[in-house]
Amino acid sequence: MKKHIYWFFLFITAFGFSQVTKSAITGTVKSSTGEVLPAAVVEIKHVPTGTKYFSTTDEKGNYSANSVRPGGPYTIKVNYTGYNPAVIEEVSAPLGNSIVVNVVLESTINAIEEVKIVTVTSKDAFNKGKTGAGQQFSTREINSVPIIGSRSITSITKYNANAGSGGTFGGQDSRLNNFTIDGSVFNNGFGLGSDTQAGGRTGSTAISLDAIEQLQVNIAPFDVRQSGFTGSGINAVTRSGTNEIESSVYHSFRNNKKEFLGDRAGNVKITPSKFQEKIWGARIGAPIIKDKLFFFGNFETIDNTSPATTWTSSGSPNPGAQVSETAYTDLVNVSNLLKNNFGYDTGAFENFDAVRESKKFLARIDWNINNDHKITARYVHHDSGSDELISNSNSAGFGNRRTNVFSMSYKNSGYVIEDNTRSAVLEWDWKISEKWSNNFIAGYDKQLENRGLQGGGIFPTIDIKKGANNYISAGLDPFTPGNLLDYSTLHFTNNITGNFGKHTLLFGANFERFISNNNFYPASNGVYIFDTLAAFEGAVAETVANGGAPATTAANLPSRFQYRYSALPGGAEPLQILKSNKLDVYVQDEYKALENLKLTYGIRATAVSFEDTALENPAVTAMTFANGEKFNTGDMPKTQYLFEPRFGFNLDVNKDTRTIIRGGSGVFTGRPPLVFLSNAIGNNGVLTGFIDVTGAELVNGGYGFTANPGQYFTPTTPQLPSTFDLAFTDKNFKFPQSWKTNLGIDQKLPFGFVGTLEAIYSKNINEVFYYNANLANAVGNINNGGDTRPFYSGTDAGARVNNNVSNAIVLSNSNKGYFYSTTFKLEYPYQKGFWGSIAYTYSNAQDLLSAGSIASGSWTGARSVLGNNNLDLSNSSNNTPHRIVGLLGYKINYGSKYGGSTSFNIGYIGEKANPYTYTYGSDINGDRVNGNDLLYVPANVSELRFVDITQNVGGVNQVLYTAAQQAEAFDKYIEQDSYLKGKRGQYVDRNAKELPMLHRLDLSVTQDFFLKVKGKKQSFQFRADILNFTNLLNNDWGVSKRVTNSQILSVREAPSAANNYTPGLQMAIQTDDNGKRYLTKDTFSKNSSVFDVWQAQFTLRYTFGK
Amino acid sequence: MKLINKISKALAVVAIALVSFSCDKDNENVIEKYPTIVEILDKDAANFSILKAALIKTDLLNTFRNPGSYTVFAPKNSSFEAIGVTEATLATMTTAQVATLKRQLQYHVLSVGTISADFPTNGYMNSFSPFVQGTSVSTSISISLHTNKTTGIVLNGGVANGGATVLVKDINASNGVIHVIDNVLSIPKIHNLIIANPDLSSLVGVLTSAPQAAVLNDLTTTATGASNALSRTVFAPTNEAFTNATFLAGQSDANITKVLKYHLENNNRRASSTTSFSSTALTINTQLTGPQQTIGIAASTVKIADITTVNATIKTINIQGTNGVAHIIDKVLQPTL
Repeated sequence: MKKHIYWFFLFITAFGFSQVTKSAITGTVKSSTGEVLPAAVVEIKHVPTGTKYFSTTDEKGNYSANSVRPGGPYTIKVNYTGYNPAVIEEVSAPLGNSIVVNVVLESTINAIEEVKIVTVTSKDAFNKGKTGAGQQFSTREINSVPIIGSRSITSITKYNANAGSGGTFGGQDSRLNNFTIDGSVFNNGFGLGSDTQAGGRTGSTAISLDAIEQLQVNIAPFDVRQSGFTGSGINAVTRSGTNEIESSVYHSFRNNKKEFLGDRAGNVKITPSKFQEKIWGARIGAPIIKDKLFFFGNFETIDNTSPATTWTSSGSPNPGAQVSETAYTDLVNVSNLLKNNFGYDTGAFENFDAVRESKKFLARIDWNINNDHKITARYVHHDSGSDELISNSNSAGFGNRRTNVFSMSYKNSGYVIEDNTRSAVLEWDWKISEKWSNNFIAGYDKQLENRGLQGGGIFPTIDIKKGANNYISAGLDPFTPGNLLDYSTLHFTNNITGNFGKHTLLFGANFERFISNNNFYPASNGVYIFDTLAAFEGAVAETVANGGAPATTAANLPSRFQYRYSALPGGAEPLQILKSNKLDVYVQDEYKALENLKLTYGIRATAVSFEDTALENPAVTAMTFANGEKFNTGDMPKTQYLFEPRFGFNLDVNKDTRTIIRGGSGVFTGRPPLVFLSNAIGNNGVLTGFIDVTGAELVNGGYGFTANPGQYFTPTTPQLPSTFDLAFTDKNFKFPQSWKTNLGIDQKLPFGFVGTLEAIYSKNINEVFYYNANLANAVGNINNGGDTRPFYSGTDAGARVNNNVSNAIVLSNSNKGYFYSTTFKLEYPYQKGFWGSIAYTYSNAQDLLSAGSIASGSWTGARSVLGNNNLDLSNSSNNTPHRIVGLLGYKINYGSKYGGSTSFNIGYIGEKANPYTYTYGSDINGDRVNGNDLLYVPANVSELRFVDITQNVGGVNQVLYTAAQQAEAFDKYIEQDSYLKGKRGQYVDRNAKELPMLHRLDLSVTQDFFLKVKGKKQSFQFRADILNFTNLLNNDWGVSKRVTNSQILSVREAPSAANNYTPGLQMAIQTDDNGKRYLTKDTFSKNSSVFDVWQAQFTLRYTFGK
Repeated sequence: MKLINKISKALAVVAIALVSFSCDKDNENVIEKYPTIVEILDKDAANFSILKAALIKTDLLNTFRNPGSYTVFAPKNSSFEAIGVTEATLATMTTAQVATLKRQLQYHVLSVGTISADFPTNGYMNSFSPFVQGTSVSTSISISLHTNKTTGIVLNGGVANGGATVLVKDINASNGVIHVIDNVLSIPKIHNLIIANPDLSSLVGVLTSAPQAAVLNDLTTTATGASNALSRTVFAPTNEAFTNATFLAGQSDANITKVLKYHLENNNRRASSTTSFSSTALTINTQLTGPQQTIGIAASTVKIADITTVNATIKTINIQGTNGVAHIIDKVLQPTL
């Protein structure tokens, strides 16, 4: 048979069509003699679903399908009269990529044989990880990466070469990533906790990894459709049903036993606490009408059970590992007392379990209405909860309530952290004409993160002391009542794409409405501290006798009472409501300037506005802050207009797709965690009133015990607290923006390897910045040897501009930060069972501060010499200077009718990350902020004044380490620390150094057995995932380190006039693995937790079809 | 067959991965966290239940649960029983008795977790038992404890002198070291601390001689009342000092008494450091009166001037007993006789 001359190009543009949910297939059709063939019919068929897209070539021979399902495989058929039809199979279109398939047809005129179809199988070659600074993860990779537990998407995206540690990208806060699934926003949008995704607060994810088809990470895509981040855009699409029924049922399990967990981190033996985790899941994809209507569904539950507490009471019938001094009989008595008198059920106090569970399902319908209209609808439902014990915090009540030697509490005193998701999205693709196509997405995502109760209901918190310590705590956790958070995003996106030969035009718009309701209402249930159990028992008897009214007999009074109530009219719940509207419009042209050069340029314009939900506090309006600034707590930021101009190019140097140079430059706008803005609405000093009484005030006010403090103690005229914490947002506050520039070269190398060299530079245009408008000026200088930093008086009154305001933190912008990186990557695309990649990235991220969730914490969390309103640019907390990632997979298949396959997959990450900062413990500059002052390294330790470290036994102090011993030890410490040694006579810099390089290698092994019955494959799989696998081979491998003590010196005697402003310092103590303590001598210590030993999870899976 | 080879290779790797779970690791040197002092006492309730009960009774137990670095001399139950302390008697103790017991227990604790190798062969360490003058309980001055490692480890000269012998040494705890002893230590008076030291045996010999009974009696008297003057400061010459003190030869008992009194002051005078007794020059009125004879210590030195031209040097400072303090000197001070 004569071999027909036939060839095609297959490569992926580096920047264009970085869509969130779709892929594109374009190309030209020419004859073998080079003529363009207009009006050729191109049929693009998504094989698994039979979904067909048609295109007809234009006068230049171009065809395009702008919005096709990601993945594949696709079969492309080209028919042209007088030419042999061509069929190209196995074309794969990764998410967000534009595949170019150029087809050359052979004329039949010279052919001897009859017309025949030419079939070519595309090689799966240059099609992965090639969209600028970005990466695709295919189903193969998603399924093979070693992973345990709740299988978060972060455990896959961390293998992106540009990722920093902890899910950060580009040196930005991980919350400045934008995470979408099927085009709907799945961010941790409010931003409590540091997780990128919804579900992170209970350690779970809203969508099972089993339902994810493709995953894409974009660091610097220059397509204007990609927005909402300054870190990275992470887009995933869920699986859809196909013409073949395919289903899978799986069960994973792990626990603390020695088959699942290592017990040696180096020489240190670890004893993991008891736990058991079980995952059950299933998925099914099926046609409802062949080639027309498909269904996909997924269900997964994760159950993690561990003892809520290992402490048991004295005299317990079932004593545990640790025995508290709290007597069993007292716990039973208090429980009965509450049950019998108030009907309040305390629940158990020992030997009960805490459960962390996650239940989720996903349903998706794909409907090919006809060749021009295609609709996808998807719904996700996720409920997760994590049982927690009552808080040990003393910011309400006495604190130290449980899991210690003196005190125990009850199950129902605890609470449940909930993280629930509801997400619906509808996507409609409409091929308007041969030139125009439209893509519309509407979505609604809601996160419910209220705190749940364990049972028992809302009851005052009762801390009963014995001697100096808490003894029994009953009633509800004081931070749980009214602790509410829900937020939702309603969004619409519409993109119209028009193909005009060399130009592809895009017009799009996006609208997002975000609403959050947040409420933190601590002590709103009333919090009592009783000094003795007898006083509490007396109080119960008395209030019962009083018909529920407070017990006021002196012997029955508590020693302290705290109660918070709403100061809003009518006692309305003091919700902090934030409503924002964001409208984006954008336009873009993708221009094929030359056959081998594509350009994109476009601009995106954004308007963000906030509804007026803040309340004015007239007392604050009357105040004047530092530098004469005035604030109104009722003000919201002004409507802001942001622009994102972008430009990108892609050059196929030799027109053979062997060498591609690509890059671009453009502005990216991120969505800040909206808790940043909600802070100002909540911390205005007018939402709640607070009663906090002890001593005579308590006695005179009659603040005795009652089960209903709200009924008896809520004043008719709310009394606002005399001192309060304020947060403001600068009226001109703008969303974070950064200007990214990227240049990359992809080069095909011998033996099937692909090399990439990539450089990124990103400059912040707007970044989040905080200052304290209530910080008074410095009053002098300290006298700490060569350290003469400004001194801020050391008293609250002296360090504050307005003494009744503890902090007035202003959310504002700066533009100092920047990031750059260089990446070298070598990839071996899938071929004969092997695939793999290895990449090294050198990077540096610089910023002024790392924002937390709470305004005051973000400001006090900064590090400085001159005070936190005066920050220097330094390494970011997300700085990861060196990072190596590698993935390696090998799979062999054997048998035909029955057989099996075995695969090994290795994930490797080596990184130098987690920067640390040397600061003084306590407060050396008298600004009333602890731990924020950068350390001064003396040229000679004699510059410093040390004070003896003493120990106390029964009221007698004895010197443990003398001042001279500490000075000597500190000098030795400086000498052994490579960084401090070079900083003598200077201040240290924030985040100057990172933890030593840590190498971690994870392994997954799968063994499949299959059997084909009537052409349907049925397979059983056993899978083992072993994280930190090398620790299994050698105890010393994979063990992480920590900084022994970054507060190597602490301020024992604050600078004052009495000591001539020379602080008295003490050196930090180090504890070795034996538990022995001595003056710190090593910068780093080895860790010994379950994360430093190997951990395994086993999975059994049955799959039908495929 | 190629395929079979591939499969068997693959399975071999799986086998290695899975079999490694059961690897024998017993030969390695495993580091485990030491238990706390309290956990060690709990493990041997048969011997230490009374000590633990006494620590609870005196509110000291929590200290030894917390991180720290303490040396604890732990008497066994039998030792407590020998002095009439049992769990039953603890329950009925008066507040005053508890306070006394507390000081006695504090005397069994040193400030730094010290293994026996680091004890002085013949020297003094500070306990946590406070120095008490009348109702004033010091928070920083505490009673000294003598160790002698010549034969075994003897505390305060052994049982006969109110001390003890170490039975089990160096039990490591995360928050210190425990040494088991054969007697409940008594809080020593100043003469007990002198007697415990073999290098002061000549002084002890003189003090315990019949003619000097009055002087010895002065040192064994319990100081009562709030006055500092009820305590004694002893400048204690070493054995070598006595050997070198040729002026003592042939002196009458009365003169020896005078010499001894010349080494005593009615005061609890402590040195500020091992290199500087006092930052100001001192003229100390000794017990030798009629006329009052003095010794002098120049500012910021540890040199004592008597009537001769040769100064004595203070070798060891601040040996604190309940009724006074001693400083060891290298020369017998010579008064005008």
